[in-house]
Amino acid sequence: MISPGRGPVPAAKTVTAPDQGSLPVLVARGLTKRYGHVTALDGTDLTLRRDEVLAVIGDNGAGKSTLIKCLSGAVVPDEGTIEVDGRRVAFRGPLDARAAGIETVYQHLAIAPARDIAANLYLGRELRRKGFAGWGLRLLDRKAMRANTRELLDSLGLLTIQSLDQAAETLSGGQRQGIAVARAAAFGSRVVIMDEPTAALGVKESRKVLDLILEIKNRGIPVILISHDMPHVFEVADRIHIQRLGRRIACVPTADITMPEAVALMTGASQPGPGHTQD
Amino acid sequence: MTAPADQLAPAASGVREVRSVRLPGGRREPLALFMARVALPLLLLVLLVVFSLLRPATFFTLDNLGTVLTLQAVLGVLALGLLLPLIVGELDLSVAANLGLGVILVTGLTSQQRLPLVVAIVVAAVVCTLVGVVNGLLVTKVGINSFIVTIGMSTVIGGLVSAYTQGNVFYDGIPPALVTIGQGRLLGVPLPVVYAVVLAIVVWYVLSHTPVGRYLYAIGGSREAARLSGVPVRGLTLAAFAGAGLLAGVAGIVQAGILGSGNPTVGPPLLLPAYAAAFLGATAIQPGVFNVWGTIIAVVTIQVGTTGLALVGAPFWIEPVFTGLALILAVATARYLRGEAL
Repeated sequence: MISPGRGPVPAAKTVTAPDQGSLPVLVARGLTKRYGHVTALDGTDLTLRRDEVLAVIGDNGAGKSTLIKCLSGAVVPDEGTIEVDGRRVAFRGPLDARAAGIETVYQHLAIAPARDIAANLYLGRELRRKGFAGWGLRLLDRKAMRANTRELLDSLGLLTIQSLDQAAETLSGGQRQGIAVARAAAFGSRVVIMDEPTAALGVKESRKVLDLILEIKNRGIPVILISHDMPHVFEVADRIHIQRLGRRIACVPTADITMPEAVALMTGASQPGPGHTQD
Repeated sequence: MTAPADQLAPAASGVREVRSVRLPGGRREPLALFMARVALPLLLLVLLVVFSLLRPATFFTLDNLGTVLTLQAVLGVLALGLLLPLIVGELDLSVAANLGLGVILVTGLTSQQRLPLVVAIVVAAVVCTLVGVVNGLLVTKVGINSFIVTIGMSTVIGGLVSAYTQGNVFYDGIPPALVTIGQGRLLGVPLPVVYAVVLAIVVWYVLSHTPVGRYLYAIGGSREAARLSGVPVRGLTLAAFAGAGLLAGVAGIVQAGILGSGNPTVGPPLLLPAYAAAFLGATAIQPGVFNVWGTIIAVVTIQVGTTGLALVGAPFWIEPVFTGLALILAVATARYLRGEAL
């Protein structure tokens, strides 16, 4: 459950009721999205289980980004259904997805360049002071936001950043990505989606982000990872969802497939076999 | 390895030593950034000292101070309104014409239509706000560039003001209460200065201490990032234009009181000074960011400079030259210092 007004909670959350143990967290069925004559998504399914990192791979134009935008509320699909914890949802915007506990780290970082780190972390859900100052005068509680930010970055091992007062634009690409990931980790209570989180990063910085992905998973929050980088995918993913021509053509445990096989399926060089799709 | 650690350390850390200053509250920041913050306030201080020494009998007197501040209070209120669209990354070139509309409405409705002053003030404020709302709707819903929308709006307002006034100045039948609004004093402080200070505090509070302020800055930084973070981008952009319209209207009402007449030519010449104040203000206090106190200091600095120059007997053409040079120099200096700091 998301509780507005509360700070990021660094400790793992227990949102799983006993009877939900086997139920997938997120299920999408038959998602379709057309832009004029172009069909970006052609009836895609997606299933995200509890406690897993699900990688979504596919060639350019396979519909990965559109699929993720449907799940994060940035795009409204023309057809199809989305269920979160077994309940049907209809996202009309990013706020709806957030309210359902889905946080997204976008490929083109959703970071406000001139604002400091705490302001970015809390953008869109600022904490306000208690009492009249908060609800009457709308007074921000900067102290609490800064303290929570420090605690969160510390718990994620991101406190190499010299000062929390630095503007986001003065951070390196990796540090900025770290802030975006930290934000998702702090507020994503059900699902964290990451769209090409390592695309613009160097080797060391990518390492850090991969560690963060595993850290989020260890906290009991499943992650959907969209990536072009096969070694990264094979390192952190539990299952791999292969998207081609706007559809899911395969979804297999990482252990059951090799890198060349995955690439062959992705590019259409080989066709999926009977054991290749499972929810 | 036998090299002493203190010789290796600087090279190994690879971090350039930056001279820094400690701020109240214990935070440190680079010296260059701090200098950028205070450059404009320091210039103001220097101007005050220099002119006081040069003309001790006239410049540094309460009377002169009151005159200096009253002259710029209207410009200050106008610039405060202008900050809002600038912060969300839009231009509003209609604020000065809108101020002129406010002047004409409040004087015309009372002197020509014989409406009570309170009604005239409310109508003027509402109409000026609606001008901002229309600007905002054309920008956010129709998707027209704000530069074009507001140039068009400015021209339309100018035409409508001409139609209403027929080119005349409203002198007769201006209610004395309106003149009191513009020329009265509170505890010796001219009322327009009081309005400007109160409004500056309100705008500063909203921009710096509420979520809405953060959203406005976030929209200006990156519209898409703001949208994806759940900020209502369209609504707040519209609100920024509406706020600019409202403050232009308030500035117009005060200006009408100061002048005690309705002159159709009074608004438009304030456009460039308002922009100069906002841009000059963005070099101070929070360098690189449109901010309230920087803008207010900029307004006062320009006026102190031009009044002082007039008192020491500089020729009339010094004033625009001073204003223009101050703007360019301040922006260049701030840019240089900020570049050093980053």
